[in-house]
Amino acid sequence: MTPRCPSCGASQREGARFCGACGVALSTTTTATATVTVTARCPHCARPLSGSARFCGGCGAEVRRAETIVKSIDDRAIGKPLADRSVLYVAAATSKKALGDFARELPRARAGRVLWVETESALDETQAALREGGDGVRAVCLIGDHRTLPFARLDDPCGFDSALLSDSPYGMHRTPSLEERFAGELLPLVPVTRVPALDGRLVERLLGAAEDDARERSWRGGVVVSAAVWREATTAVLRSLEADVDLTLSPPGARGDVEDQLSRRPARVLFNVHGTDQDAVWLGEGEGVFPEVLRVADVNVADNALVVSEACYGASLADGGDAIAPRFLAAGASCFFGSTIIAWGSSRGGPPALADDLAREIFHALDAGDDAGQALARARHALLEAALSSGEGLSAPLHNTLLSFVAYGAPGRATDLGQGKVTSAQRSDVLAEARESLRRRMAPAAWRLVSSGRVAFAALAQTYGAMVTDALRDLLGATPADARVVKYLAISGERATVLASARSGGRVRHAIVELTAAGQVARRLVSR
Amino acid sequence: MSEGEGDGEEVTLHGVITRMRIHDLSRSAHDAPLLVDADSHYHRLHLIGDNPFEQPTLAALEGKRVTVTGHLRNGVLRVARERLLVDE
Repeated sequence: MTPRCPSCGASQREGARFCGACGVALSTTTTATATVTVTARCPHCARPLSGSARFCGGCGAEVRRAETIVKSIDDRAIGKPLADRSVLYVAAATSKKALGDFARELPRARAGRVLWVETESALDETQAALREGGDGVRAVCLIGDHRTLPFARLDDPCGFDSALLSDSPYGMHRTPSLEERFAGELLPLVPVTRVPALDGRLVERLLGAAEDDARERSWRGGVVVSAAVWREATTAVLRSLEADVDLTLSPPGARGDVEDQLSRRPARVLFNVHGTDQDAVWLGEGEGVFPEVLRVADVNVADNALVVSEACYGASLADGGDAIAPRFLAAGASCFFGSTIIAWGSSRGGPPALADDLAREIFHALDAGDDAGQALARARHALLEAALSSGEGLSAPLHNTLLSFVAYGAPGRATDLGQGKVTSAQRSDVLAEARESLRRRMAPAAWRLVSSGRVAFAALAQTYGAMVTDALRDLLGATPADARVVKYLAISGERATVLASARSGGRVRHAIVELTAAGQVARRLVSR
Repeated sequence: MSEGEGDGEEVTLHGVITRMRIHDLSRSAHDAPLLVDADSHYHRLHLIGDNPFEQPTLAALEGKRVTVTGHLRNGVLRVARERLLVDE
């Protein structure tokens, strides 16, 4: 006889300790002889799952399939108020002394609890706490910089950085693989923010500012600085935000002009400029020159200012006390948004894209009352939905944009923001339909490339035929069989960039080939 | 120190300075001076204190053979000005 759950009556598999349908604990006598068809495994304990199970029969954990993750993000991360004891503050045990009295007062003063972790295992410990905390955790706030709480290091499918640095995995039950991220599992379950400092007074001020919600609601007196080559994109973003604000273009604008504007202590700041991982400086661009527009010494903002930077490495903490992003917080900003690695955005003279879109959506969310973590979560949703709905799919640059941008600041006070543009049910449908549409449009091999972010040379040749093999033979002086594809970057289903290498005559040569589905090699370049 | 890749041990390279477009298609796409060594390997350089996108000192040395010593950060050799030597 098939054992059944005493609570809901659902049949159970052999050995189950929890009901796969409702999650209630089962007595051992009810599970002796169950047999079910196994279709998947629990991501937490790896035990087999029955096809429709909502809970793992082995450990009782809720099974989070892709569509339920999207729904739960909407329900939990955006749509629900923060409840008592709902914020998980994470700090390194070695930070207690630096945080002083504040470390002891934090759990009592704020709605949440503190998880003291070891630096080396900070991510694992946080994810374990989230798994065990169930629905009790509504947001994660990391307290400390990358030296005490390291960014998660993910594979970078774009290949320009040694790793994709992200805070998002701190809001997940486990870190998804590259393949899983390209299958849609790349957004945190709960909003994640970071206070990148161990100054107890600064941490307390940021948490207090978030609770007081004393932010400026208009762009009056705001500062917007854009590289001249990105004027069109920046102008379009400001138009969407209905921001009546002067735009400073660089060139001709330079560091002195921006320093003068910041000295008036703006309440809203947007930088659409260049950044670098080699120096704490942001730069403009126009007609082949890259004027400096900002260094740490120039940073000045109003109390509770909102700051967004689209710069590559805009959120970098690499230069410690000389890094730009934390200086904005120290100067009075309540939150800062930026990228940990190379950012992706509009082409020169082109319309807004990626980082531009994210910046726009962040400000829209802040205007709607979101706190920092919620604003980033809502902005990510907007970009992902737009890409999937339009059939563009999840490209590597979009993947990096969604994961590399971080929110520095604190979780806000309890706010009920359950008025999103798309309901959770619609959101789930959008994701599923868009992915299916993309799958139908693309050849199987190409779909495999896009959904995995990687490619075998054989699959590449199958998709693009002689176009790519000829190009690589010309560039590398090697037969296709000798070439190795290092990175595959799918800009869309109809355009791709391939980074390949081959050993020829004792030398390793590298090539970048840009391909179009129309049979054209759009660009080729030999590089290292 | 970089959060992406900590500054590594001291490295010395010999080679010729050339210019090439890097980070193509990204927001950081630009022409950069690279060092090409005897094995035809390309190395990114940054002269500390120079504009990181214009790199005027290195750009002026295009075609010259140099010896540079510095520390790697995120795949870029960071070189102090006094440790950039132009070979005769």
